[in-house]
Amino acid sequence: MDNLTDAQLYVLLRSKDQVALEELYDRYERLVYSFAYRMTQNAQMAEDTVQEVFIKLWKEHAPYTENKGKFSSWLLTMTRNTSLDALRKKGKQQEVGLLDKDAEQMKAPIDESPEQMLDWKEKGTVLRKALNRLKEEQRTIIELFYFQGLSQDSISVKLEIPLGTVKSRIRLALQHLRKHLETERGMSPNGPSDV
Amino acid sequence: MDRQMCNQLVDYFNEQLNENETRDFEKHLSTCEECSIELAEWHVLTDDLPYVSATVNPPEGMRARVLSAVFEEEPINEQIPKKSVVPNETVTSIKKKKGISWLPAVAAALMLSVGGNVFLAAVVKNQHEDIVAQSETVDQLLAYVNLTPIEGDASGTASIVKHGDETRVMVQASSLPTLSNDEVYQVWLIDDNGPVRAGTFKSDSQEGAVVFTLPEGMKLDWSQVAVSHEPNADSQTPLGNVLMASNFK
Repeated sequence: MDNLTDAQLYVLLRSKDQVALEELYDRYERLVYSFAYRMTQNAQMAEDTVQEVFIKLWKEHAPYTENKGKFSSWLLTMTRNTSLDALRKKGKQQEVGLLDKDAEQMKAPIDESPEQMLDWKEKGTVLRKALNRLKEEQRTIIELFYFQGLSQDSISVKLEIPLGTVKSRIRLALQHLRKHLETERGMSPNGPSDV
Repeated sequence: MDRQMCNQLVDYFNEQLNENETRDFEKHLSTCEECSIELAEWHVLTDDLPYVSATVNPPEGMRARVLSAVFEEEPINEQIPKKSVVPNETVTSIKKKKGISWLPAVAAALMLSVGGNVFLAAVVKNQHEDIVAQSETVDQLLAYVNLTPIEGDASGTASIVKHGDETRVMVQASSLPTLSNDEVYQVWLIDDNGPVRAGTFKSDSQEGAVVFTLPEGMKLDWSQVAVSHEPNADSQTPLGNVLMASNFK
């Protein structure tokens, strides 16, 4: 079972193979939980999100197919949406500036070393460096837009910018992030070695 | 271009629109190239952002709590009809056929499967109905064949189904040889250019099934389908014995 790809496990899961679901759970528990915790900043909400995500996988036959991209990306999108639902239900507001805190945590050790953890570690380090290169207002808009999932009205009010400029500012911030990511990846094509 | 509508991309991405607004925006999306491109771009640009999350150890006992909630009130394997190995896909009982003499060269075996065997290529009406009955989502059965044993006693079926915009290859097999270590069963679609991977599966019970969605835009004029016994899931061309094969035509 542990030799199967995520997509293969997903096929088995759809045939109600509990072992396949458990294998996927074990592969992604920590990543899904950590991302949900990052989104909600609350241990109980994060656990509820993990539960909801895997219930959706198991009961609703969430329609993943390999041509939708990587299973992990699809699962994390579902985690984000589920986390945002939980936040909205609770009316919970996050603080701005969490991306700066992420930067402080970049030296947190990841002592496990399965493939996903290495991938996570490498992507995380490059991302944090790229995010640190952004102007503060661009980091903030990514925080509000992506991690808090706010509406454009809310973003406009919070940042005191015209409603009509929210979309273009998000786009600009994401494009700058991509540019910095490319620079970071160009500098360390084999991933980070300083963590 | 409806600029006001275009600005709703933010709220669409963040699922902030109600049902009607979502429907209207999706209608807009189908005609506004700029929004479609930007939406795709945002998905790509945010794809890795979850990995910025610091690693947090899940609370003690979370695994048991979550899995217990997931499996609660759900039918378990035993309650699934025995023939339904994979929901929405077909599993039909197949008459075993005696093995055809094994050829050591895989390529030769594949060639033999084209020219040397009599294939049961016709779509079996009642099996077709079986497929449709089992799945409301199956739209169109493009091809259905019984797989002819090449090496050993394995038998099975292969079908190609158009499911909305997707094209899926479904293979079900029984009497499969036992796997060891990293070995897998690999499905191949074959045309004049040779075999292409079309799903990998494993099984502890000598029975198995796999559903494989073909990449968008892939041509569909395959001439044959084959299942081989591979040393691992990485084979890009058949390296092991071909267990069964069939023509689509």
